[in-house]
Amino acid sequence: MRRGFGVRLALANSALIVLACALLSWTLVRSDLREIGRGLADRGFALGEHLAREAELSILSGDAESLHQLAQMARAERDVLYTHFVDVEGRVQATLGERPAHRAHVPAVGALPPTDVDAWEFEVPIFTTDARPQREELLGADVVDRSGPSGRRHQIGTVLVGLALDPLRAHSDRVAVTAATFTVIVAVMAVLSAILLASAITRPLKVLARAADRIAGGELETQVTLQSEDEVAAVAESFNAMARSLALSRAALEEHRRTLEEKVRARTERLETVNRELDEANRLKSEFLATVSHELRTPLNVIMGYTRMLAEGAGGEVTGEQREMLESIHRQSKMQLDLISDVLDFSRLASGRVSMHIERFALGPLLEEIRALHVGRQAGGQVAFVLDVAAGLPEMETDRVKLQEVVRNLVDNAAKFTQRGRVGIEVRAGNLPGWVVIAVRDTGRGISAEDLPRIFEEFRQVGEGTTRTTGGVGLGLAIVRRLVDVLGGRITVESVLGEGSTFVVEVPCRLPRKAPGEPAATPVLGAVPR
Amino acid sequence: MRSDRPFPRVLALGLLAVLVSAAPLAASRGPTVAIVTSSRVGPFETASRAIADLLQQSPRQPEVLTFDLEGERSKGPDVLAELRRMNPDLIVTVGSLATAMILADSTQRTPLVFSMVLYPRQSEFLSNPTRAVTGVALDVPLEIQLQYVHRLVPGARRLGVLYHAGETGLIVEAARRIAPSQGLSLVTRAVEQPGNAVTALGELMEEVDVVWSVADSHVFTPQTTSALILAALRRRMPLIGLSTAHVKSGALATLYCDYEDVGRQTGELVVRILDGARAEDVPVAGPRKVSLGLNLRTAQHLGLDVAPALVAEAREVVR
Repeated sequence: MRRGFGVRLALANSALIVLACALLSWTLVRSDLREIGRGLADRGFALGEHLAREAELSILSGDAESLHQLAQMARAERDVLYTHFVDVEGRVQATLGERPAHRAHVPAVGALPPTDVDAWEFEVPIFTTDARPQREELLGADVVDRSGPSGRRHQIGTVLVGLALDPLRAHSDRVAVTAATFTVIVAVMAVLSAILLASAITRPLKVLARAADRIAGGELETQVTLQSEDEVAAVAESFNAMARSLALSRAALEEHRRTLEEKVRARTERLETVNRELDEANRLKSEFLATVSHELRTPLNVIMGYTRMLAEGAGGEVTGEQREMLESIHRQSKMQLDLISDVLDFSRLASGRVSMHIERFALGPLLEEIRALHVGRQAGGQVAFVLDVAAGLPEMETDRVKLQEVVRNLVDNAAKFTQRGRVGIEVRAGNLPGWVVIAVRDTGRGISAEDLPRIFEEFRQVGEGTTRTTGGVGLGLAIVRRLVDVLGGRITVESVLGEGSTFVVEVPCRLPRKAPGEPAATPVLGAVPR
Repeated sequence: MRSDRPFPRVLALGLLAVLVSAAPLAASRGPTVAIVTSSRVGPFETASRAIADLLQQSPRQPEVLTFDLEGERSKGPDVLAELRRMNPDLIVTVGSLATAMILADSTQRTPLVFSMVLYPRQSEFLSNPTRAVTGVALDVPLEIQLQYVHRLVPGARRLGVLYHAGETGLIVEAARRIAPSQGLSLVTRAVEQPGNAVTALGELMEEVDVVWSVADSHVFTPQTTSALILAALRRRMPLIGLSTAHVKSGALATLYCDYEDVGRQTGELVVRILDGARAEDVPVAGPRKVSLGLNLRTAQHLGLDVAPALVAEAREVVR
């Protein structure tokens, strides 16, 4: 059952007060009883000692009548149940009153009187003094110690005085009843006051709770009115201020939301316009690039074709000097065509318009084809092209053409900067399951440490006079990096100037195919960690 | 108990006595005897009743008026006034207080017979100039007393006594003279007031073997009696008391009179005087019966062996 705050407060308060009252009453009753018991003990001992003093003569003389008178005198005292005089040999000399069966000797000082006996018995010895001169006195000694007992005082009997405990018990009962009554009255008052107090506390809380419910239901104009000036009223005032602030905030929020929607709508419209303009510009650029490509490649192919034909003697015998000229024209045209191809490829990659053609293929033959191509190109045979493919590699399922272009570009690059020595292609399984690592190592001139961070930037040629020596516009490695990105991999490079370079490409073996109707993969540049 | 209005009470008693005693004799108008008691303590009451009974049974059956001083000397004037008014033929006093009070009235000549009085001669009761005085004293002869001391404590040589010179000096001097005949020497300590009695006893006990008592109101009072007996017991000192009450309280022994017999003896003297004898011709008598009281418990405490003959002789024994 759920108990309200008021009930809990009343219960806790009442329990605490009842406990305190009970504890206080118990303590007072015990203290009172102990005090009374002490007084009773003092009185009993005082009476017993008085009787013992008075009985000395009567015990010595065997005056039972005087002892009886003493007992009667004691009996006149309140609470005295009996008085017995016994001589030192245990003979009862005088007795008045009966010793109840349930009696107890006086306990230790401060102890509570017993509750299960009818009388408290005080046993006081009766002494007499031997006033005869001691041997020393008889011999005329000057100093005789008479202060200590030292045989001058000896017991001649005992007086037993019994005090009734009934009055003490009656007093104890009265005190207990009074304490219990007091506790009950205080407890009832505590319960009533706790209920009133709890009501005084919970009533405004309930008002606040109802107001909070209305505010939660959207009635932000709700205000709480309490007819008090206490802490709860301060809470109500704060509550009202909060509600007002909440209403103002919601109005401001509504206004802000409305304004924001208008701004979003306007910006969306602008973005759509710009997007349309960008699409148009992109389309125009593609058309321009296609046109340029066509318009540039066609004459260059023609030039190269005819140059090849002239060099082969289709137009008549050519001299050696003429042949060299034709070879030069063909070579420059080829370079120009490669340059155009690079620019177009980079343009296509940069625009994200890349089509993925995923197919299954073995990596070894692909790389062997590249190696063989470069071996065939090499004239002097001063560079060894080596292919090292680890056994057990899985088949690749990715864009074969793009991966081939990556490796070809890297090998081209290595061959370009390696005059003699070795260009190696090493393939092994990657550290991650389902990945392969393709490393292209050369013993060329290497790359300086300060150039290494920039070698994958577009149009960046590193090394002094490189362009003049090797040709190109600095797009090869930029294209490689973007292709690796498209393949979902990453590329790193290590190089020591004068000793060679190593480009390491890590790509997943399997690139997921796109569902039908899904747009071609358009990886965002820089999406793959490097 | 002390009364705030003594006279009406005394008067009422007197009138009651008159009504009770005089009615049968109203026709003959016999002699009138007034009995004045010092108080109504046991011995006085016993003696007083014995006197009255004997007079009632005597042939002359005198009218008996009874007055009680209740132990208060201050009641004397009222009683004397009433006696003057009643004018009895004879006054009987019971106790020293009543005797002294009546004898102090020198305006009357009514003969006086005292009873229950100790040492009447030493108290100068017998030398009254206006009245004829006789009576029965309580004095046990000193010789007898000292004999019993010797029998009770045969080894005792020094006998001590406390006394007030003005009250019992003559008695003590008489005892001093007699003591050697019993092989005793009397050692005395004078006491000026009761408050000094216990201290004086302590000093006395340093020098004696047994303590003897004389009826001296400066020594024995209700306040000092128990203290004196207790001091003697603590000292293991035999103390010869004055009464059986003393013996019950711890005194070793006492010689006491038969108070009823003393009363009857007094009544007989009154009858003789009423029959015509002159009071001044009737000698003062002593007690006819003397009894021994013994406290064997005290004797045991003292380590004293009391002779079996004495025990057999004793009329009252505390065992």
